[in-house]
Amino acid sequence: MIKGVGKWSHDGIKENSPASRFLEEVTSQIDYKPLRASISRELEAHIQDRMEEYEAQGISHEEAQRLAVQAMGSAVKLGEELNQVHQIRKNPVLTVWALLLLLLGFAVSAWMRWSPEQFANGYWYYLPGLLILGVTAAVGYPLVIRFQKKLVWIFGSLYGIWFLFAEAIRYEKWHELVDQMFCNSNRIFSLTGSTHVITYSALLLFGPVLILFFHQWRERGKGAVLAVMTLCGGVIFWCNRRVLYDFGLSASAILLFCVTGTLMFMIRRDWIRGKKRNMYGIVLASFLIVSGGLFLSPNNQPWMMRFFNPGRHVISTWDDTYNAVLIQELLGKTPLAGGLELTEEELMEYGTGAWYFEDSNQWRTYGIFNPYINREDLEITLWDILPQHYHNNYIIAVCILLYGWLPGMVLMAGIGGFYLVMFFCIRRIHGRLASSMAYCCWLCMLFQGIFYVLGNFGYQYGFFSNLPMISEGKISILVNMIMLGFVFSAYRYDHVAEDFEGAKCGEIGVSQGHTVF
Amino acid sequence: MDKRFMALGTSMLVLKLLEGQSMYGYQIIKELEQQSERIFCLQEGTLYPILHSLEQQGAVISVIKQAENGRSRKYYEITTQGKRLLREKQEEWNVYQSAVNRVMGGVQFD
Repeated sequence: MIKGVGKWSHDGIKENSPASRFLEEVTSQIDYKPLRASISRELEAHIQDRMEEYEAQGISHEEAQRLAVQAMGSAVKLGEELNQVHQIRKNPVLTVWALLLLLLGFAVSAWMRWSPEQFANGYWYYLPGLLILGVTAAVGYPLVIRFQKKLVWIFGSLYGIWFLFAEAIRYEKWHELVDQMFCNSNRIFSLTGSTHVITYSALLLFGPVLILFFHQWRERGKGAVLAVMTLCGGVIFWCNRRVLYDFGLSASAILLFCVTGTLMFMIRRDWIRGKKRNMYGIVLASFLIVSGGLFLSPNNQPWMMRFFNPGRHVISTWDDTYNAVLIQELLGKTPLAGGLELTEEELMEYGTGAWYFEDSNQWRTYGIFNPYINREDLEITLWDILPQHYHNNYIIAVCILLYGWLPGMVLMAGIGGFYLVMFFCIRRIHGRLASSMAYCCWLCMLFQGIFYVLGNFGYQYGFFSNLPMISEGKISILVNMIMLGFVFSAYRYDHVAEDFEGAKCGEIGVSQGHTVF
Repeated sequence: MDKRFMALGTSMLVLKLLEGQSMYGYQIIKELEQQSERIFCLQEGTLYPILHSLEQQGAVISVIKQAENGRSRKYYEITTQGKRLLREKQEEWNVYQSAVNRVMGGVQFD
């Protein structure tokens, strides 16, 4: 029985009576043991109702019980049929696909590490990432439904602490202390460079957390929708004004898209009280207000300009906008198969940035910052001129440039196929909490991928996004494994775990999927 | 009757009953008996796999309510998806029924 959910009251059925033996025989057929109690109680209530009817006809208590049990039919057959309905599900296709992508990501990260520009130890994070994936897939959803009310408080407190922490580290002394404690890049499991990484991850995870909050408040209908959109917008504005600045733009956009998308999904499935049209209106209006503030505010407008027209904002070869321009230039020259072939002269031009800067305005001189390649270098290869730093932020572009468009398309098809398989898996989840949180996780991973792919074709918004599983940072792999693990878990336990939905006057609880006791 | 059509018929009837009001398992059995004038007397246990299966398909949701006598009962409520499923099942049933009528009734001339 799940604590706090309430329990069935039952009376009249004694141990070792025909009814209790019948119930034991039925439930012994159920493989998923936590479900046995709830099935037993439902059948017990039925038997008691039938007994009452017989007793009202003047039949003795014992005979009434015998007849009531007889009317239920074969205990074994009933148990088997119920067991057939309540099976833990596996999704081997999604599992194999995810593991292949993880293997690819690990191999690429390990390989990148040996290139001179890469010094991050990110690939070690795949090991705890795999562990987190396994644990979340095994127990994630049952834990969420069992402790959902407590989790609301726990997550609420954690985000509160995060808020205080982020405000505190704006003061130099605190910031230095935190950097010394957690951000030593020589450690294998360090958080290189900045506590921003934690904030970035917290922002991504806030989507599924908000959906969990919404699940608790959903009886309030549009009030709950407004509360969630306000919280989402509030956190986005606070992060962008006070904590992350440009670093958090893509994460903010991902958070906004995945929360809006999930609410739309829930409205479409009639899971939110109130008129559909009104609900869509509220979500869309909130989305427009928040996105207007996010994308069009004076602080953030330049990032939109960089996204649409990177060429106008290049200052040096170390700019992301320069990478965008270089990628677009080189991709245009890459053949379908076989990779890009350039003459030594072209390699030198691209490597030094001379192809772009020589004819540009005087202030756009590559002398402002040293270009990665010097004119004195004798042997320049294609690898040297690829986007100048953080190759793992351009894995798709680098793949196309090195091996041609076809291998690049195959890679993208592999990634796209994975998202598609995951989507169809989520469509088969019927529990409301399971389905909406899994959908939110999927959207969060999908939009990370979309931002990443756009960046690989020269349209980068804000700071780099990750390509879940394949191009990860450090904490990001852990965050994405939690989300992927939750999708697996929600699918796995959808037919057995109980999605308790709260109670109103006189009610103990409402469930989608199965009721829990 | 063919087992598939038996299952189809039972789940259709259950959804039809739930379309009117939310009910608990025993109540559904009683209503079926009453409305069919005791033609549909199910083995009572067989109802629950059908109800649980409908719940997993999202066709019904369950609500636990406490009755006046203090006993808790699990009420089933039809969803929008369930109403859609009911329409589909009705159409399927109509096809089956008209096929049976055609065979049993012989050749019909307009």
